[in-house]
Amino acid sequence: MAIEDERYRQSSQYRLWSFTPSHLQTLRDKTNTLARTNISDRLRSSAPPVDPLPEFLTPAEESQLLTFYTVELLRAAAFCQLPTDIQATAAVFLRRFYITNSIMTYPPTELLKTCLFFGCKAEGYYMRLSKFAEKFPNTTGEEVLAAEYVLCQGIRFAFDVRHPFRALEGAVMVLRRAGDYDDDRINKAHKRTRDILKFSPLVTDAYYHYTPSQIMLAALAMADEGLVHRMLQDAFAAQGEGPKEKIWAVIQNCRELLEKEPPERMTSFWGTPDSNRTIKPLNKKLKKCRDPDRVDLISLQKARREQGLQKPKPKVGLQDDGDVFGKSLDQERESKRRKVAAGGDDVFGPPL
Amino acid sequence: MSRKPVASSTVVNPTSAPATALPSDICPVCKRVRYLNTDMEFLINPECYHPMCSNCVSNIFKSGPAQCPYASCTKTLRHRGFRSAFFGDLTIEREVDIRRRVAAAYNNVEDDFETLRDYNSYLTDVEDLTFDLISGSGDERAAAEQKLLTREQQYRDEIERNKKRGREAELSRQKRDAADREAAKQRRAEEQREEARARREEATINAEVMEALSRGESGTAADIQERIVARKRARVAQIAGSHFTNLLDNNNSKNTSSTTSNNNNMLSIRGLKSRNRRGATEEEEDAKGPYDPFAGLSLEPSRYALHKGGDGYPNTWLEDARTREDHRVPGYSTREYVARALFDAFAGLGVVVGDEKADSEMRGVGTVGAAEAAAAGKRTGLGGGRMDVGDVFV
Repeated sequence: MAIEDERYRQSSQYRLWSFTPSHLQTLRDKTNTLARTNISDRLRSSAPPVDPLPEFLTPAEESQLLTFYTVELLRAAAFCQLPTDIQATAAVFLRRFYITNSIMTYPPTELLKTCLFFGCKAEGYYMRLSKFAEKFPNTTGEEVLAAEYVLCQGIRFAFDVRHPFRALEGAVMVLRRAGDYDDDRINKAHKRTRDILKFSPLVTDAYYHYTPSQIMLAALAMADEGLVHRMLQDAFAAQGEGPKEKIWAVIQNCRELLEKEPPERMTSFWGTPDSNRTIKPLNKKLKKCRDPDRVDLISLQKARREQGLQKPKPKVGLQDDGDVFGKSLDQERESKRRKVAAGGDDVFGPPL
Repeated sequence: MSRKPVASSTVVNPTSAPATALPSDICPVCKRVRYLNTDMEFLINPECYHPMCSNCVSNIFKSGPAQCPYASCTKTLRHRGFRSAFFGDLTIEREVDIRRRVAAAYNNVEDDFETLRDYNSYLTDVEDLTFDLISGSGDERAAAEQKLLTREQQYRDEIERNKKRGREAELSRQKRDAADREAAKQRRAEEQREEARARREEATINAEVMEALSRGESGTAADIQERIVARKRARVAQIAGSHFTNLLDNNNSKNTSSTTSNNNNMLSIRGLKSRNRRGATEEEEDAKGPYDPFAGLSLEPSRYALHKGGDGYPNTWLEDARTREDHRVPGYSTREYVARALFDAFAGLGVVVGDEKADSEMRGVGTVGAAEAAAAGKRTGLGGGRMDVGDVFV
């Protein structure tokens, strides 16, 4: 029982946002079906009913699109010159949001900007909204903010994301201190691992299935397996081979997952005609089957604000004594109280 | 004595259930009325709590133990067991009696226990027993009674010891309280004396000023007055600490007896009492080591050791922060960074999400609250495309 693990178990990342692969799949399927029924209901009930209904995205297509938009987000973040942590946080926010919300329901292009902006906020990196909006074509600050609250709800107000970046620095420090490896080897592995961590875990589901430490070691294993073995050997010196083998298996799994999206794919696949060929039809499909109510988030937000303003404020404060104590005040006193109250302020002060 | 519980001509009250209230006018046994006998008094016997007038008691029980005259009450009562009830409601009377008896048998105090938890569970047990005795059903009551009897018999020595200790503690407490009061009284008297002295000093100011003027000292009249007042103030402060200097500031001297509570010397008395009482245990606690707010939880990492508190790690990026004065002076500590980085490197390494989260699949959503919300949404058909997350755009 390691205290480090216990402390990690306290984090919202573990409590709310760690799933088994099958669980994650069920969640996505459920989201997809719900969005499907909702949007088809909506389309059927619109003024001239839409007939025939458009073809909806499948969960697999949705996750393909999500990966595409995550890459877009990383590209945008790099363009805004945001630090690595914020890029990663924003990407994780986007992916978490689309677990319980469908891409068909909320437009990912808008959410992407909101995630970036909100990622800055969550990491304590101040950025002026207007400056931020200026960096994107045809974007106003209002658009960025419109989906902010929905985003917060979608990520269940879990703003703290545990990243593997600092973990990597720790691991490198440990390895350097061990002194068994020459600096070149460590530096090379360090650089490679950093590149992997900046991309691969963010566009895959690694953050849901593995802890930051495991992700870091998996990425390090991709760069230099010997270093990982050394780390594990030290870490599990007291616990023996059994747990170590188990964790090594977990790291191997994570590595397989990460190797599906090595950092080279950022340039060699995403944004090339190859990826466009698969993504374009999906985007076209998305345009047709999108929820018509939620295309214009700004007006929705405005409507909601106004509704909130008009909503009669629930009466707080002045309740009658009877409400507080139940209706058991005896009749005689009640009538007396009423008489007194009619004459002006209650002698005994206002009701509780 | 051999009368069977069933009806008898002398029995007046047909009910055998314990009466719940003292009768006010008519004796339920002999039917005598208060009108004829104004100083009629009703007595009860804690055996069965049936009230009857003192005449009946002396008539029936004078010659020795007899059965209770109430119908179907088979208790044998003795004359000396009778007493007048303190409470009008006899169920209360009974409860108080029982509580008194239980408290006498279970008379441990908190100091007797190792931990507060032990003491609390002891209190709970005792209260359960008491409740069974007071309002339990027949079996429960019998069992509780048995328990109480065993306790009374087997632990007679211990009970007696506790009782004695309690008496001693009470005595010493009283003694201490008396001493406290006496000390406080003396202090107050002392303060009043000093105050009076200070006031007298102050009263002589005018006279001295006049005298100085008549002596023709150097300086203007105002200077002289100032000088004298300053001197006086110093003297008054010397007499009574800093509390009475205000006497000179406003001549209509305030009643300063209220300032006694400001004196540091006397306040600690209440605190002293508890310190005295806990003196012994405090020493024991010192022997055990310092107080640990985490109750023994160790935050020492188990997978790595922080070498030299975090300084033992070569890192070119941190060199500036370690060595350059302008980085160090503002207080940035590389140790914190190193500790955190190492923690991150190993935190959660042994957490296998696939195993640990397997059961949460059943729950479906992240939090219990969200699950409930989702369920509610489904029931009302509102679930729509937003699942468990409340949609703001509704």
